[in-house]
Amino acid sequence: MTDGTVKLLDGNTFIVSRDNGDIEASASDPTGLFSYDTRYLSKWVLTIDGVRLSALSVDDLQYFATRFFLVPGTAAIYIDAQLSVLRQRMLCDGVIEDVTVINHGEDPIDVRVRVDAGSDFADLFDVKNAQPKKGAYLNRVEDGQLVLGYQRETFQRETVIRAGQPAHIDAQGLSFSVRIEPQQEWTTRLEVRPTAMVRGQPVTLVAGQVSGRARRDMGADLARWRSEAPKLDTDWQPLKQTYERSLTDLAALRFSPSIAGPSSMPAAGLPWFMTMFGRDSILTSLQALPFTPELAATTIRVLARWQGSNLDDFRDEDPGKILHEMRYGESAAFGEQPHSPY
Amino acid sequence: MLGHQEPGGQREPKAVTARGPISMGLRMTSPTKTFFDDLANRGHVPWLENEHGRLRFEIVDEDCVRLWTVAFDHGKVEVDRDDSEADGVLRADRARFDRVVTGQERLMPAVLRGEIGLDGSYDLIVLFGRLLAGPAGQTGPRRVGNTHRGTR
Repeated sequence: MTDGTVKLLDGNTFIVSRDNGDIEASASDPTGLFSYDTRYLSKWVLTIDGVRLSALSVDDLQYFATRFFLVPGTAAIYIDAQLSVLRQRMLCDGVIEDVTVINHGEDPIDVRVRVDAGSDFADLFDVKNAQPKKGAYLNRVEDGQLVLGYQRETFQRETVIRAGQPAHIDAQGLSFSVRIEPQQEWTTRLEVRPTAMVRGQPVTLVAGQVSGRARRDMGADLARWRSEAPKLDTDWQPLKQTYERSLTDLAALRFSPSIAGPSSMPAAGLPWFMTMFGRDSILTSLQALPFTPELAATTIRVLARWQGSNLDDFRDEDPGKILHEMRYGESAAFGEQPHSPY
Repeated sequence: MLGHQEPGGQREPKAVTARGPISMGLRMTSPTKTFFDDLANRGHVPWLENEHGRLRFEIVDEDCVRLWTVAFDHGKVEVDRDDSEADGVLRADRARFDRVVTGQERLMPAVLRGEIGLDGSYDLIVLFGRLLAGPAGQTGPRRVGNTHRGTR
């Protein structure tokens, strides 16, 4: 969080927030929850009795999980020492966020916990160029869930937000009225799923996973990744740490295109380049070849699969040519930029 | 990336096979039918020698669904008209698919727009995409002044 933001990622899905966990993006501000090159949350603000929270500390647990320790009030105004908030966030086929409010006082408290949610459904290229949107927003409460929707012709994307505890849900967010006894706590889980609609059917967009499956075990996946790499045996601790850190960073850079099944290839970087690039994916795979050869195997197979087969001046496609960059957002879908699959 | 949550979309009209009562009746031909006919006569395709699998195409044409299956068998491409089991399924309206097979429109942008549904093996569908025609009248590698640039 060197620039005051906290970033988590899971393949093509990533979330960039402030150090208190809030997201309040403007058209050109690259914070938010992104999946498949579309921003699915541009607003995600947690308040207690209408008061925003400030961070006491942030624990970066993994590249896909973090924990915010929060108190009500801004840094300059200290409001209530009786209450603190723990916000634990994990990315795994969407966002899973556990919000815990702790009453440290001697008396019961009644509080209103509120999460304001919204999305501009900006294409990644819109965020970079601050382009206006061409479709309509369709926010609604449906089946006890808040659904943020966007539609342009047949292109439909939805953010589905669900709470574990009973909530009052309106089109702008979720509210919880709770009583917390002295020295007790209250917790709710919030789940955010980025979704696409294809021919009238809801589809969950996840990192290389077919929808409907159980969530992956992200921790076990990272442990497996590290255990399969060569072991470095040295008594020089900085080298060992650098090596371990590099393995984890490579794990974070992995991207599973839908044709690769559970296999992964390196993307080019967060936040703008979490997708396959011909040049970047090949070079990173080559450099990592002695340590994580599966990256190279997947990269070669996937890029070969997507190789050009026709002449297409707009996409710069020629037979046998390897793609430069692959995008899945609105501007690729409508041919407004050429980085759609060949 | 885009997998259907439940198999066999319930909103789709009832499938009718080639041997069914109405499927092959009135329309004489279409770019889609011509495409599959040509594919059946394509013979040996060297770059498919390592490939094996079957795709089913459910093409919605007015009130019925016309089915084709394409089997890749180590270089051979076999086209059938039945509803046999497949590794991957593509669903589209005929007018849309006509445009895709004639190179007027690209397959994957139509998928991203939600106009063409995919299910099962994306790997085989991407492979199939390489059998489609490209756009007409392209300059090719001698193209100059291409103003579209990547993001980096």
